[in-house]
Amino acid sequence: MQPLTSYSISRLQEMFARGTVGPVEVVRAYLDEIDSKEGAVRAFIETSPDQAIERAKRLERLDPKEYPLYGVPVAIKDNICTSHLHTTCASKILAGYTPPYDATAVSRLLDAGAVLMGKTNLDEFAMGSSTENSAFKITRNPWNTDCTPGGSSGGSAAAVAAGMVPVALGSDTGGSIRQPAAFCGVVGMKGSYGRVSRYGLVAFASSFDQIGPVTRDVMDCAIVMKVISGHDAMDSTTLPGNGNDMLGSIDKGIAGLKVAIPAGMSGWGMDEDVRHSMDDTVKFLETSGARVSQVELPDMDVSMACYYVLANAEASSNLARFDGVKYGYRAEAATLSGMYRASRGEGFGEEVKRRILLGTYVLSSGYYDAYYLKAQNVRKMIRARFQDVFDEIDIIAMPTTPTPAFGIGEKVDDPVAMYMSDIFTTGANIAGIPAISIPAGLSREGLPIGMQLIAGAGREALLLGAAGALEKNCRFRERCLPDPRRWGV
Amino acid sequence: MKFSDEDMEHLEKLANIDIDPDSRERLVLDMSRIIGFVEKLQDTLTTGGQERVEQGGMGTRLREDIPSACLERDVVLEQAPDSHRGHFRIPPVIDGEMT
Amino acid sequence: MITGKAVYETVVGLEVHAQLLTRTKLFCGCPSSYGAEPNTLVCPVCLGLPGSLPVLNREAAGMAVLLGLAFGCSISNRSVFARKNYFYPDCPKNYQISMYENPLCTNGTAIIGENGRRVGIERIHLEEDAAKLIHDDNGASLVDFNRCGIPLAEIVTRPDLRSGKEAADFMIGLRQIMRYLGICDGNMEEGSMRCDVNVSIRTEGSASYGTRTEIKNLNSFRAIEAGIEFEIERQKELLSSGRKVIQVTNLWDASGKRLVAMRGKEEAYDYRYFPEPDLLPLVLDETLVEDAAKRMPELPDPKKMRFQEEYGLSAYDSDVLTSEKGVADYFERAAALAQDPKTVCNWVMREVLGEMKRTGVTMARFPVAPESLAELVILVKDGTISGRAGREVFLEMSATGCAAAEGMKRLGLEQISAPEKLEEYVSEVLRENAPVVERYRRGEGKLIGFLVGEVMKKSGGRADPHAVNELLSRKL
Ligand SMILES: [Mg+2]
Ligand SMILES: [Zn+2]
Repeated sequence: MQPLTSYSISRLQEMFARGTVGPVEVVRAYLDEIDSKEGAVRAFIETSPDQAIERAKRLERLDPKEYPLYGVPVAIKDNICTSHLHTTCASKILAGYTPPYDATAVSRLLDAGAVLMGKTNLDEFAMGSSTENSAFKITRNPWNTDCTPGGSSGGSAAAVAAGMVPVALGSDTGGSIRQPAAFCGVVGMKGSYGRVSRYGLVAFASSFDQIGPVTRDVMDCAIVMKVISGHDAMDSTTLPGNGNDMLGSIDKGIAGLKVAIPAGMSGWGMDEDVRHSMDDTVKFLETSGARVSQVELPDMDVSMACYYVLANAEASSNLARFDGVKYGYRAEAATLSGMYRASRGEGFGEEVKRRILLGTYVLSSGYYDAYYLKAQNVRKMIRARFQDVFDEIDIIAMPTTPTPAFGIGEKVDDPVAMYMSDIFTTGANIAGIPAISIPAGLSREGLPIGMQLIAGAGREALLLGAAGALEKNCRFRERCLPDPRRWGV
Repeated sequence: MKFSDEDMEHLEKLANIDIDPDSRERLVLDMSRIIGFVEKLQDTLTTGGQERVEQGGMGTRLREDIPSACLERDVVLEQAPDSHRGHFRIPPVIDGEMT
Repeated sequence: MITGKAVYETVVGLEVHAQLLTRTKLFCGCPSSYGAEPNTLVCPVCLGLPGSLPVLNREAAGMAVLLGLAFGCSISNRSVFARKNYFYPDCPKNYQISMYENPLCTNGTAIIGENGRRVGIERIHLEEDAAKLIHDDNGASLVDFNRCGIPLAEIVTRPDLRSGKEAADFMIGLRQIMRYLGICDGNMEEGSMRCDVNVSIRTEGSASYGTRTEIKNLNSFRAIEAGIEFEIERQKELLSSGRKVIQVTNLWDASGKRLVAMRGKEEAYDYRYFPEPDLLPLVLDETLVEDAAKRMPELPDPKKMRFQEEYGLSAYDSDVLTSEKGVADYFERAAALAQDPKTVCNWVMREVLGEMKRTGVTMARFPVAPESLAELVILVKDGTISGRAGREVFLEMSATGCAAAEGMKRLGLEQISAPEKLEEYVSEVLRENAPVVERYRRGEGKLIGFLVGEVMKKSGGRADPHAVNELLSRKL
């Protein structure tokens, strides 16, 4: 018999419905995986084995058929509020903080029967691309523990890749789900802006942030998206409707779709193995009946600059609330402003400070027009360009990242180089459109390579269908899994 | 675009963040580099296409004026670094002192 | 030596914050009420907890639109919330959600004072109120977030006011209108209406403005007038002695009648406003504006004119009766029932308003309903009781909340018209006033009034004056 931890959500649901296995058994099996692998991978900031078993026991009295995620263990990125677990954003400033409420995405998972296994590591406040900016630990890439898992949802991606959970939630502001998913050989998706409620997601950049799933395959991803999507009265930026259509095109494949490849990709410092993967993808698309063309996308350097100005401007304001008054870390000082400055100076890490300072700078008097306003106008232009593109085509296909996972410590001293690892992903956040990363193959060093598919606003179902077809072609999970024997612990 | 020490001081004040003297010099350098990086916005023409306003076109959703449950005070103050008689307690505020 | 003394003109602009009378806060469902235990009317949103998001209260938007319409503002069908960034412990997110570049209402006009001066309303926008800070004895400060997030309408005038008195007049008029609209109770002492002023002076006829200073903490109409006049004198002194006015923010100390400097220009704050990304623009759907327009009551000025024309009341009476919508409504209801506006006007002006003033009870809680007042007026008019007795009955009604008939009964004031009782009074009066009777008989006919009065006195005002008159004429 296959190990219990290898089943997809739908297989698990079948087994639960038939009664061949119960949630407690499954949860125990995953807890064992966490126990044996966490030491090497360090994906979690906090695990909750006792609560998970308790909940699994309670679920055993309920009817599996009524809960789409009955007994499914999930991990939650630690910038998403959970009322029974700490929520730290991997920051000293929120160490020990327990929110008095659950994020909407979390309560939707719980209502669907999921079991929370713990909170995963991230770059502090989701600011980073390697999960090295955590105040608590550095997460390792399960494919090569000398490499980063990417970030900022590195803990979520590593936990799924290492088989410690089948599903994790991440958050994606400029690629923070898709980039680590690519680095770790798992599926990661962000929906259209407003598809999943942000209520309870500790804001980094409000107009870019989206919560999304990290899973082992596209089908699981679609099932989780269906549960967490939909309008929320607590987030007035959510889109109307629910996620019921999420699986509507899941078997439609890619034949007949108009797929575009960005022109001039060679100029973007792409790794050779990534390029091969891209070529394979194009070949597959052509042979499977898609109509493939080239498309001119907005300049990616400019997109990155636009993203950094706007995201950090919003961040500088969003993170102002961490001041030592109401919750979190307080440095003792005689005066109020002394308390503010010391609490924030000691509580925030370097990268967070850099971004707050940059965001403050671009909003400050004398610079607002040149940076913030200009970037807003550039954003409008980029959005318009994507709208035009999606008038003509259905899907954009491109690598998720220019290179596979990089080494731990490799880019920590060069913030701009670190930013560039998000160069292919920020476009979807600027435009507010859905995008997914699926594992397409391995580099010669044995590191996963992710392919990214992007669709027009509101077209998640079509995107998931196309991703399913590409996944079938890559057969990634059948061919490769990370090898714990190489973790050297 | 040069980013100076004085710029840094001004930002520290606006953002209410003490910068550790040891990392200060590097941070000033980082800021110059990042500002240099976002500088490319300046050469970008933004007179191109017009964004069609779709999802945002209808404007913000409104809430009806109906009360909902509040939090328990104990739960709220439990997270506070310091509290006193049902209040959050903080170092003295000087009237009008805005930081 | 004679020096030409410059003639200065005062220039004042106001920024008023008015708490709107919604049931819940601007961006969350917490009740926006007073008097609760500290930090019990709070939720993740108004505490600014990580991950929380604002959702706009429809009623607050409606009230702000109503206010804008009342001043003839243009109502923007697409206004934008913005974040005003500053660190202060009364502001839990360390930014206030307000409006900046695209406010909800712009370009209105208010008419103030007796000669109807026009004052420009530059803008009206929505924003969230701050928390309450308390200074602890032990040198710490305490924060209560109950007030935090209550909707405020910020009303900004053009620099059209020319004196402290005009500024106070504006505020009185604004409060009157907001009370008419039912959107703010306008209580300055309790802070539900607050006012910051900008003051400058310039030589008369000058087209440019002088350097302005700001005064905060003006929490009564009197303080507004006094604070501004104080500041004008200070600025005049500076300029006449060749010195300069420096841009500064002062707090008015009402007890010491002095200004305390708060912060100077060099510390002028950089609020780094930018559009609030958590809220899409406020796009007014037609129903919202229509609903507001439907709610628009007759405003004080038109009502005053109508009272003069429709009821034939004096300008003064009309002014008093329309000062509060509640009083005007009360008057109109009673006048309609009693079918006698002028008499009802007298009753309301004298008795009702007098009693309200004496007891401090508001119109909404005044114990004599307009229906009861109308009954009483009718009883007096048809002679069931005398006017004087009527006033006593009114006092009883006002003290106990009883109806007019009940009040009469309680005071034993049913009218006496039984002939034998009246006969008794009349005979006594004739006996006791023999000289007067004599004079009457000799032709001083008007003395009958005196005799009627004496009978009334004897009866404690309860005798039916018509019957008394008749009886007296017969007996004499
Ligand atoms: Mg204001
Ligand atoms: Zn609240």
